Amino acid sequence: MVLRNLRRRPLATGLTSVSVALGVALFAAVGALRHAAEHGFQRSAGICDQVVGAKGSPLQLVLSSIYYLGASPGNVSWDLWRELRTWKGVRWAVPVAIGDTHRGYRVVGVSDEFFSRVRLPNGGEGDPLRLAEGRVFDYPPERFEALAAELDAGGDAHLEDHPEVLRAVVGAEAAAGAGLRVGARFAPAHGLEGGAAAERHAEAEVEVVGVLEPTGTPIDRAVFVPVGLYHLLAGHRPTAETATGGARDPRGLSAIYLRTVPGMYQIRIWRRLNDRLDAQSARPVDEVRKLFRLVGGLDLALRAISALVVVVAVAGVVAALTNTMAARRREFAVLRALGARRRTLLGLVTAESAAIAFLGGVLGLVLAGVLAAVASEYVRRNTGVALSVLPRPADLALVGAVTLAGALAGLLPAVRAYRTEPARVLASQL
Amino acid sequence: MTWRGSSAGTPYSTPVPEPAILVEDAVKRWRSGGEVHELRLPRLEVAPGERVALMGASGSGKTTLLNLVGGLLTPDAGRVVVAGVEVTALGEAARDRFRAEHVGYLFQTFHLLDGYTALENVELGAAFTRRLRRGARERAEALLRRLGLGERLHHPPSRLSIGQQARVALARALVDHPAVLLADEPTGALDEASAAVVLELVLDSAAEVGATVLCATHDPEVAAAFDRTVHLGAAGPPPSRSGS
Repeated sequence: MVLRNLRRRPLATGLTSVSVALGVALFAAVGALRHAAEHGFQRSAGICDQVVGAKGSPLQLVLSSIYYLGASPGNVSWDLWRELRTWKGVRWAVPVAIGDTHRGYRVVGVSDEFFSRVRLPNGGEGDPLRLAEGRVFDYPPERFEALAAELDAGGDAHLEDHPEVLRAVVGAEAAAGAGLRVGARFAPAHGLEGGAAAERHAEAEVEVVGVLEPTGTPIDRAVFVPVGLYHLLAGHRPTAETATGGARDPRGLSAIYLRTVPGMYQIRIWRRLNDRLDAQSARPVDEVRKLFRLVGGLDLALRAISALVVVVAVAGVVAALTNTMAARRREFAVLRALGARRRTLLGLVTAESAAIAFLGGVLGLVLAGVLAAVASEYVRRNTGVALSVLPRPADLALVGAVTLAGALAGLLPAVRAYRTEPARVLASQL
Repeated sequence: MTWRGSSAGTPYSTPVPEPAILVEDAVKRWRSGGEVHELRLPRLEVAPGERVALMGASGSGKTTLLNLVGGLLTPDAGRVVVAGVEVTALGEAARDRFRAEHVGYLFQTFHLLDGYTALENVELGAAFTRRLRRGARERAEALLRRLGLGERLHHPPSRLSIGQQARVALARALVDHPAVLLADEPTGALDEASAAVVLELVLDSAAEVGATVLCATHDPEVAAAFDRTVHLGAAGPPPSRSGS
């Protein structure tokens, strides 16, 4: 009977349901996105325990070296990397050089060890990086010094004579987006933005030898080359002024990924590095957590606003229902004459209000799913971080809460129905 | 005495205790149009299956008396017993239940619900009764067909003629075989020809179902079709069982 009453006034029912849905959708979507984003970003942050880079903002270091967002705070020296490999408690240390982009995808220099050592957190050991096709390059960083010396000597030595260093392994999305399958060749561009204004190092063309499987992290949107390659490209050779080393040394490293033995060693290494004048160490997991705490304030505000929207919408449901109470007096009187109890009428109207709220809640969840899908696609496009936004038990509780609110609020107009005096109403119809 | 069902003639029947309707020393005052009206009825007895017409000037309390019998109102004084149930001794919810099971109402303006089809309107008559909920749809359909509305089962009242609406209202009143049918000027909205047809239908259907009929009317021709007439108001009610 409730459903039939609702169908009788499709416009009012529809509009009020939709207004509830909007509030619910916003509330659910914001919550779900926040959760998914934090989870997704944390997953990416887990590729190493610490990131070592030039002194500056730890957040900037993490964002630039792990998410390839923004410029790095500077460089650290190769010597530091060599030193770190000998420290007790360091499991592995991968040198990283970030800079150029190719068609919007960041070109990142790493050592061979990157592919074999990095694990993405997934409970237990974690997932290694896997190849979808091809193989990884094989140019240990140690060979770069000799190669650099050879090229610096000038004369007829050219980079093209060493094809084994002009190799790249491409992330899943970069491969698809820039058409970089195994065997493709490209010339990396200089600077943060890709585009026509980029300098082209015509002398250096790189061949793609491998494509990685998707990881749901920024790795998918990166093109990996041997780490020393930058320093061998024209424009990265040190001039007299910059040859001293330090943060502006173009031969320096943007960052060093560290995996440490957990516990005491972890802490000790972190302190030692931060005490140095020429470097800092940031813990990606911590920086991401701090970042999301900042975001958390916004999240809370948005959720408060959407809760308000739901309240207003439910008030609208009540108002709409109340408006119909006068017109339905006859209907209620007839039902009483047919033997319906006052309580039954109360229940009827309350159920109508609850039903509209329920409809709005369900619609809102569907809408939230759509919103979340759109938003997570946007995030993935821009950072490579994959967000998996799935329905959670909390969402069902949300629908329940909204329905309950609708029922309670519906008591107001329902009282009018309860108070119907059938004899008077029916007689006055004569 | 506990109520047990309508009189013989239906599959659901068990005998109705005598009298079907008893009103004793009833007094009811109400306000209408700025005036206070009063109904005084020392005694009214109606036997099971009897068809009684109620006549009186407007304001004499015809509708009020119907509502007292139906349990929609309680008298200021006196008692009302319907089919063995002391209606005046029941609480409101119990009266509602009683009315759902044992009383059918037929209004002058029919009071059909627009959002429902003819069939659904009739089913509503049994919606609040526990006794005969099962089979309500079949009974509703059968009733409507017998009343000549087989083609219009799924039409809403807005698509029915006045005469057809009257029949749907009648079917709704009788769908759960009530002990008592209360009719309030049922032919008042109809033209002469339809009025005669509907009146006959009312009396015949009620008899078929075994319901006792109490019908308020201001039309002496209508009253003439009933077993006897009770006069309210200035003329005073007659002693029980006498002729009109």
